[in-house]
Amino acid sequence: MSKTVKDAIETIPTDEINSISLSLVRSEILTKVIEYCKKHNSAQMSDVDLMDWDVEFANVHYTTLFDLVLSANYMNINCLLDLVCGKIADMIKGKTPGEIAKLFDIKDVSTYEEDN
Amino acid sequence: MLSELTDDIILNILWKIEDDPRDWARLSCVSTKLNSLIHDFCWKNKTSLIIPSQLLVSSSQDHSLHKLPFCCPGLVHAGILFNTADSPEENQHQQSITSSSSTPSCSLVQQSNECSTYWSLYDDLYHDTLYADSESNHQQEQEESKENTIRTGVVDVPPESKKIKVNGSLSSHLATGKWTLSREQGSKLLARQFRDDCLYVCDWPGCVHLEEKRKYRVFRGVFMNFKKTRVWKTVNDCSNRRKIDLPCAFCSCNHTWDLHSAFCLRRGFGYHDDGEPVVRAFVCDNGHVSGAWTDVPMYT
Repeated sequence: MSKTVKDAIETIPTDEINSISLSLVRSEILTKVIEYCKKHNSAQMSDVDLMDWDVEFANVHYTTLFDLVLSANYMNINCLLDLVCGKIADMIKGKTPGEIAKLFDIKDVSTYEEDN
Repeated sequence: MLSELTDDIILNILWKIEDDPRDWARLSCVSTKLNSLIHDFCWKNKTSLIIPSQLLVSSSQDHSLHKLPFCCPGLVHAGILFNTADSPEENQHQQSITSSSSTPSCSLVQQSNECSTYWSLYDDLYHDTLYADSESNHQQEQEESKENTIRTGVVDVPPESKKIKVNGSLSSHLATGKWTLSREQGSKLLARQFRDDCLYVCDWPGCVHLEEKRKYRVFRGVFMNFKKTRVWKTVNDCSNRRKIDLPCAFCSCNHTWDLHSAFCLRRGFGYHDDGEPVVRAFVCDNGHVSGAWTDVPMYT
């Protein structure tokens, strides 16, 4: 499910593969990613049940969501990326600029300009 | 936390909230990074789908073109509440609308400098909330002053029966109906001698407002290269009596021109029994048009 992992497997000679480095993904987030991939790879759940499971899976604190979206992007797992981006989008909808700034932890626009 | 996300991730999220343009408008007020992404990618793509290409090319520097397809000017800017033969109370009412709409936008603009050149529908939504409060205060003041003064030779009608009962927003708001602009709609509006002028108007029926007296199909539009049009020459050459103190909903123009009394609209639309025109339209110096259709009276 992860194109990054798939490419790593295909490029590194088989007898040299012991581990694939995913240095940008923290272990607790990788656990969640693996949980997601296992669930979506198994043929046990119906589509409706899987959708409900996805909703529950993405119902986490926004800091975890941000970690998940970065990991899904790095590991190139499109369905997970889509799910998490969709969840973040739902959190933004209908909010005022002040509420969004608080959600994304933007304290001061001028400070943000300096950072960029 | 936003700085950690790459641009492509942010764009992925932005594309998931494109259904309601107000969300983009609010987000663009949050930071310069979001503002540039939304302006350079999201709005550009969106407007290329709903605005004819020749209009886009000719108005590339006009940021109000981002607002026009989605923003209904409301009963105020479409001139429905503006009556040239109005009473002092209605004049006051009109002034209270324009003054209350200018104050909150200043405080919101101070939030970030980007907002002063980049419109946010959030501003208009904020106006609506404040307008509801100011209207109720104004009605209270009116009632108090009527109790205190006795005017001779005048029949004092209670304000409630004189005011048009309105549903929905008086000032600009997110338009219902289609968000596309077409020249075909514009050509239905203009008199024959102006057929070479390119007026793009939102597709029929515009934003429908059901009021007590009648149904208004409020539309918005824009002239391409307005200063080179025959309409501009006509309104500009004539005397200033057709220039009215009705601000534009899409730019900072404080006055607009009445296209109906300048004979720029197609003949034959006529008037209702109460003297209201069947079609009205107002254009500002930048070529932004606000107006409304009503149903043609069955019995004339």
